[in-house]
Order: sequence, then structure tokens, then C-alpha cells
Amino acid sequence: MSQLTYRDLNLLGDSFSGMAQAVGKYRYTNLLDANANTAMRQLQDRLLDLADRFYTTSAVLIMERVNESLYAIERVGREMERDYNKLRSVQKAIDVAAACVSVGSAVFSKNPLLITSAVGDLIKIWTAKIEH
Amino acid sequence: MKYKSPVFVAVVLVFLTGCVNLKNIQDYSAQSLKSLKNYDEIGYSFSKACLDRCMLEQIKNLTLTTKECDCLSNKKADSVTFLVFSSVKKYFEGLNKISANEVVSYKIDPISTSLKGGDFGDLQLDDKDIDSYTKISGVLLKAFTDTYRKKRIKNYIEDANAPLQVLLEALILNLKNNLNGKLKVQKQRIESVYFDFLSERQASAYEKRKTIEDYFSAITDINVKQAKILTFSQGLASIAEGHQQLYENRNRLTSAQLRDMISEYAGQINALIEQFEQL
Repeated sequence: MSQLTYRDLNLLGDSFSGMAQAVGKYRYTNLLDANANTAMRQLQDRLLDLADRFYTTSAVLIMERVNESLYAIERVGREMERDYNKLRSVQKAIDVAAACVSVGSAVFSKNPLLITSAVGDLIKIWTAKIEH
Repeated sequence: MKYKSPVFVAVVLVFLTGCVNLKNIQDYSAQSLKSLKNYDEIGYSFSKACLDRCMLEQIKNLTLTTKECDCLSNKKADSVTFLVFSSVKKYFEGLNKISANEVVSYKIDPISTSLKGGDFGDLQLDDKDIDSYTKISGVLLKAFTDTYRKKRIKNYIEDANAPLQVLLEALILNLKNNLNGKLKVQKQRIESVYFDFLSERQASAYEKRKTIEDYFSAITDINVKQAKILTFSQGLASIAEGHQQLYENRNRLTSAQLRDMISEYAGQINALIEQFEQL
């Protein structure tokens, strides 16, 4: 089973499901005695169980196919996040620049209270998180 | 005239970089995300298929045992499918976020306000000058960041296309082929069980009628689930095709031709979303 790929298993699932359908059709359309009907039903059940297992195993084995792609997409995702933060940080830079201008103006006014307030605002903006 | 040089530079820069409008990419990624959200609405999984099989077994044997159902491998199948789905969804969330024009909409007013309201001693600043230079700064900033954004989006599309196609193909296979395959198997099991119920000679006409009603109800339920899986898978296929087009035309992301092509895919995806919602 380990030699089979996810595609092989999916196709096997289809084949066994098809065989089960054929057995079922025969059972429903022919008047079988009790023993024959039981035997055919058991065969049908077995085929359906195997088909079911093949589909499930195929779905699990697909992990082997997608592993590398998952890493690759995750890398792109991290780059996007980084660039998004970079682009949004421009707004922060503008806000910091505006706050620096206010500090400059406050220094020119030689008003200590004004200077303290302007510096406080600058610190607040500098330490604020970038909004998404 | 003192305004001629900076305004002229701004106009030339904007002309050279082109008005970067990535709305077509944002629309496509937004529609793709909307389609992907229907994954939760499918309302079925490998684990559920396993539990349904166990329940049908109990109905067939006319038992009410609380025997535990071994669904470990089905849970693994669900984990794998969900992992692939999450990865695809995260990529489109990122693409949608960064292609939105809001990401490069900057408020330049704080500088203008600080300059106008400030006292800079002997340095006198005219309000009209401040407004003009603020506007020019805004235009230049947008041109620069837009160019950067367009270049980066081109890189993402380039790097992501191959792995994304693999992931979408895997997701389609797991849903449309494997999960849907299990539903087909379940349909056959139901048919087999109910055939035997009806074949029992001692069952009354009323009991047989009830059995037939239950049978059709169960089959209809499975048909709806299959339709949802099929429609969702068609959405995934459209998403894959759309991204392939973006990849093949990544060097002309803002061209009108690509815009029309991508709009078509966004439209297709939207139609499939509507179809899914009606199920």
C-alpha cells in the first residue's frame, strides 16, 4: 500500500465503488434466494468498505504531495505581511514627522509646558502600534 | 513661477510610474476569499462520513449499542484537507489586504496642520504654500509606494503560483473526488440497507411506505451535500484559473486586457457563490 500514490488510491476507490454498484444492481434486479442474497450483500458491503478506505487513505496521503507547497505559500504569506507592515509604517512616519514639527514649534515658543506636551505626543505616536 | 518645478516633477513621476490601480487584483482576491468562506458551509467532512457509516450500521442491525466508531484515519483526512484550505485562504487574505488601495492612502494633513499652527520665530510660512507642498508630497508618496506595491505583488504572484496550483488541485481532489466518493459509497449503503428492509415480507404496507420516505429523505440529503461540494470545487477551479492568468500576465498587471480577463474570473466566482448559497 505504501507504494501507491494518492491518485492510485483515489482511482481504486472509484473502481471498487463501481464494482459494488454492479453487484448491488444485480442483487436488486434478480430474484435471489435468501442465501444468495446474503452472500451478494456481504460482497457488496465488503467492496463498499474497501472503496471507503481507499478514499480516506488517498485524502491522507495527499500530504506528501502538498508538503513543499505549504512551506512555499507560507513564505510568500510572511513576505506579504512584512511588506504590508512596511507600507503602513509610512503613515506612522508621517505622524512622527508632524509631531516633530510640533516639538520644533514648541521649542521656538520657549514655553516649557508647550514643549513638554509636544514631546509627550511625539513619544505616544512613536510607541503606538501600527494600525491594520 | 515658483510652483512650476515641484509640480512638474510630480506630474512627470506620476506619468512615468503610471496610475497604479490594482482594483482588479483586489476584486479577484476578495471574490476568491468570499468563495473560500463557503468551505464552512459545506457542512460535511471525512469524520462525519465515518460517523454516518457507523449510524447506518446500527440501523441495519437494529441496535442501539454505544460501540465506539474508529474514525481516526478520517480525522487525519480532515486535518490534511483543512491545512491545505487554511494555507490557500491565508494567501488570498494577504493578497487582498495588500492590493487594496487603502494600504497606500496616507493622511498627510497632520504635517500641514503642524506647520500652519506652529510659530517658528523669524521663519514665516504661507498657508497656501503649505497646502501646495503638502499636496505634492502626497502625490509623490503615493506614486512611490504604489510602484513598490505593484513590484511586490508581481513577485508574490510569481512565487506563489506554482505551489498555489498544487494546493488548489489537492483541495479539489480531496473534496470532489475523495469526500464526494465517500458520499457515493454512503448512498449505495443506504440503498442496500433499505432494499433489504423493503424485502422483508412481514413488513406492513405502512412500514414499507415509511421506509421509502426515509430512504428518499436520506438520498436527498446526500444529493444536497454533493451539490455543495461540486459547486465549491468549481469555485476552486475558477480561482486557480484566475491566478494562472495573473501569473502569465504579471508583467502587465494594470493593463486593460488583464483587467477584463480577471473581472471575468471574479464574475464566474461570484456566480458560483450565488449558486452555492441557493443550495
